[in-house]
Formats: sequence, structure tokens, C-alpha cells
Amino acid sequence: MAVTVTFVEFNGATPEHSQGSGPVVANLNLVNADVRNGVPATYPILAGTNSFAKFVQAQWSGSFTKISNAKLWKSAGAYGTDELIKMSGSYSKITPAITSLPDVGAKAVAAIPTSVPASANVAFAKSAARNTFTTTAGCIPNGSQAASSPGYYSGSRSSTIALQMNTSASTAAGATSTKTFSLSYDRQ
Amino acid sequence: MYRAKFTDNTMLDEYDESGKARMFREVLNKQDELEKLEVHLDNGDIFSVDLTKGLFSVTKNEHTMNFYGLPQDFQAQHMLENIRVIYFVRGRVDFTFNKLNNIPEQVEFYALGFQAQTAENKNVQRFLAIQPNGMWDIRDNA
Repeated sequence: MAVTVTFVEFNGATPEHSQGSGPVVANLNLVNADVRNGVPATYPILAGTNSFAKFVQAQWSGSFTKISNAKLWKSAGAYGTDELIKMSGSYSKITPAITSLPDVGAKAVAAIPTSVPASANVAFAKSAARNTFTTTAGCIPNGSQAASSPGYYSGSRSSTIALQMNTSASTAAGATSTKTFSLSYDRQ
Repeated sequence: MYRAKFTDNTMLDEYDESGKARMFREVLNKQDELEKLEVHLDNGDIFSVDLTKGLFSVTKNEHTMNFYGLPQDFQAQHMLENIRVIYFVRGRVDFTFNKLNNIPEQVEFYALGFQAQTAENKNVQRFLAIQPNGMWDIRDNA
């Protein structure tokens, strides 16, 4: 069975591990509201502010023993003036807000890499402990399933990934360019 | 697909007789008896690692090239112990924020090789990074 990846999003104040597997979304537009499938024209980000933070997980479907060494980066699509996407590959979900994602401990939420990172930057859920902010990149076994069903509800999943767009007063109004992201990983 | 060959002359293919994928865990469960692991590409190329010798083989167009993963003088001077297989698939998905459901994986390469310890407790590893089109290179770091 071919391996596929599906992203799911978690909204609201409830911790992600209390929200089940999380719903599949049609898009992850970074907008000025904590909504799924947000329409930028309806919820535009105000220049000089941030988008609401988004909390997502990658879920793998297919047949494999384990996934490890996950790396996420922006592989194409230029930023506009003072436009930046911040990303953490393991973040304890908080109520999404326009406030800049706070650093946790001594670890700042950095800009998403624009080339393949040298080391893994997305951690894996091992239990509810996935809610701890850590860059530890272990691996997640795919249980004893011989082959999981296609779809978001099965297979292995990453830790919660936090995303947020930052802008400045200089950022141009209107739609920004589409970005392409890449996620690589080792599976066995 | 991979094919594992064991010292008791049994084999495990990635796909069983019914075409169902077999999890690599089944190979790892018999790792102590694993003698050779092969990767067979759709174009007919076959790559293998012999875990008893640290020997790689590459077969293309029915011609086979054998070579050691480590220099022979190194292997002669440093008895390799605890030799374990390296096998994984480096997968990748590319996506925009508007296409997020069942994104199909692209295989960047298959990693096939071994890691071991020398008698001096030094860790060494070598693996072939094999692209689906048959191009390959040898690496010592994932």
C-alpha cells in the first residue's frame, strides 16, 4: 500500500490530545482567526501583526514499521516584504491567538527552514508527553498493524507542529505568494 | 522491494504471496540470522549487502560489481562485531497549504547497508543510497 501523509488541524482551547485524531482540513491558510479552512479575504492578517497560530500534525498511512528523522521546510515560494513563517516541530498546544508564539523554556520558535535542515526538526508523538516542547526526534512505531487504512485516523503521527505568519507594517496588502513545503522522513 | 536471506536458507520478501506488504519488523525479528538483504528496483537493478562480510553487490544489466563497504585493510585490521543491517526508505511529500489530504510519498532513496563496531569499540556504518532510477552512491551518515 502506498504511503501517504495527511495533515490535521487542532483548534480551540482544548489540548490536541483530547481532540482525538483531529479533522482533515482543505487548507491551512494562515489567517486572522482560529478557524479551519479560513478564507484570507474574510480573515485577513493586519499588516504589522501575526496570523493566529495553527497547530497541526502529520499523519502517515500505509504499511511500515516505523517513521523517524522527519524534516519540514519551505521548499519553494518567496516571502513578501517582512513576511515570515515561524514553525516548531513539537509544541505544546495553547489557545490559538494572534500573539507571537511564545518561546518555551530556552527554545525560541524559529523561522521555518528554507532548505533541508541538517537534522530532524519534527518530533514524534509517543504519548500525551508529546505536548512537551522538545526537539527530540525519536521514532514512532506503527503498532502491530500490518497495514493501516488510508485516512487521517490511522497510522503514525508527528508531534504537534505550530505555525504562524509574522508581518510588519511594510508588508504589502493582498494575497501573498503560494508557498510549497516539503516533509521528508525515514521509514522502515 | 526488499528480499531478506537468512543463514537457514529461508527468505522473506517485502510482499507476500498475496501481494500484501510485509512489515520490516519481521526481518528485524530475525536480524541475528540475517545474512543478506537485497533491494530490487522496478528497472531490474539489484543491490545487496552481505552482512557476514560487509560486502556490497550491484547488479545492472546482468553485470555484477562487488565491493566492500570499508577498505579491506581496515576490515582486516579491525574485526567487525555486532554487524546490523541498515535499511530504510527516505520518503518525501511536497505540498501547499491547499492540498493536505493523502499526499502521495515520493521515494528519494532506499538506504541499504550495515553498521558495526570494531574491537576498539568504534562505530562504523556504510550504506548505499539507491534512487528509484538506479543511480546510487555510498554514504557513511544518514
